[in-house]
Amino acid sequence: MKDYLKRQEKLFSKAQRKRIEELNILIAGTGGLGTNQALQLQRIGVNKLYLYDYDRVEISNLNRQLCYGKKDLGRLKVEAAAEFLNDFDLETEIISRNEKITPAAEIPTEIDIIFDGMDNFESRFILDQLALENELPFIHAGIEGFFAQIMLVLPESKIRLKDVFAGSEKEETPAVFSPAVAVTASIQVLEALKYLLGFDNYLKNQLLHLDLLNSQMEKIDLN
Amino acid sequence: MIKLALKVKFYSLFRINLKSSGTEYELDNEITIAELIEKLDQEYDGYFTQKLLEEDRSISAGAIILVNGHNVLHLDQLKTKISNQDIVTLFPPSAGG
Repeated sequence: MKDYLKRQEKLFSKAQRKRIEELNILIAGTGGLGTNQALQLQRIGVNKLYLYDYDRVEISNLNRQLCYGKKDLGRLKVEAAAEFLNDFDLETEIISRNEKITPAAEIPTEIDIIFDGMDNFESRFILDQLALENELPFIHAGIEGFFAQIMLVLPESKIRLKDVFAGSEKEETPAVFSPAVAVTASIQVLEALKYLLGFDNYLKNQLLHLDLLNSQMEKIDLN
Repeated sequence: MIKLALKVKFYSLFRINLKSSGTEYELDNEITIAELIEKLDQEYDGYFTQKLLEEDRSISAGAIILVNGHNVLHLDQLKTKISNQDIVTLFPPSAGG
């Protein structure tokens, strides 16, 4: 076990701890959700994080994208994020891929799960299709203002992202801010871990809806 | 006796705007989603036509309509039939990240 994981040791069985330290995770998009996911996943001690993005850091990113500051403006996001994460000198390997996720993207064979860090549904539908083709679980989240939704899509799931969110492709830029993004990304990490570590009560054919204005979290059945 | 009714659930801004988490209708016969929107409009002062439909009465990009968890775009769109015991879920999807 990594020496800095002592305080979470009692939460998991020996087998679960071993599983965490073997996990290889693909984060698609290192924006608000993706940078928060990366920070959480590094802290829980996963083996490798693959960061995918093709953008450069812009001033409008800095209200919620926790791996970047003003000194990073204009830099490739995946490079700046990897440098930020590596500065903590923890043992998770960070692999940056300056690459757009397209239908032809090649997903590394060692990946255990894909995290949605995208900011639009067109890209998410491509990601969901890649997850299906590569027989990988995929954890979706979308956030707008004080509301968010999270959905775990498994290789065997009959209901894919498009079955629920068809027609959601909008052109406006959604309003987003850090506390709501951080909560959403953290729940994404928790829900993915529950599934990967074999807990019973992960999201099965359900959409988790977060209403942070009313302090409510509700499951919507998709059966 | 258990009451049989069509359940309509609102989430996100719909819930905030309407100060309601949903409504129920005891139906005599099947109705369509288009007819449900008319019923909701009567109860909520035209709100759902404005939120769910475009001017040409197609389904708006900013709204999800699920019948028992299935997007009506993959069913029979606004002609999708619903009846007592069905659950219709209405919410604007969150797209950002």
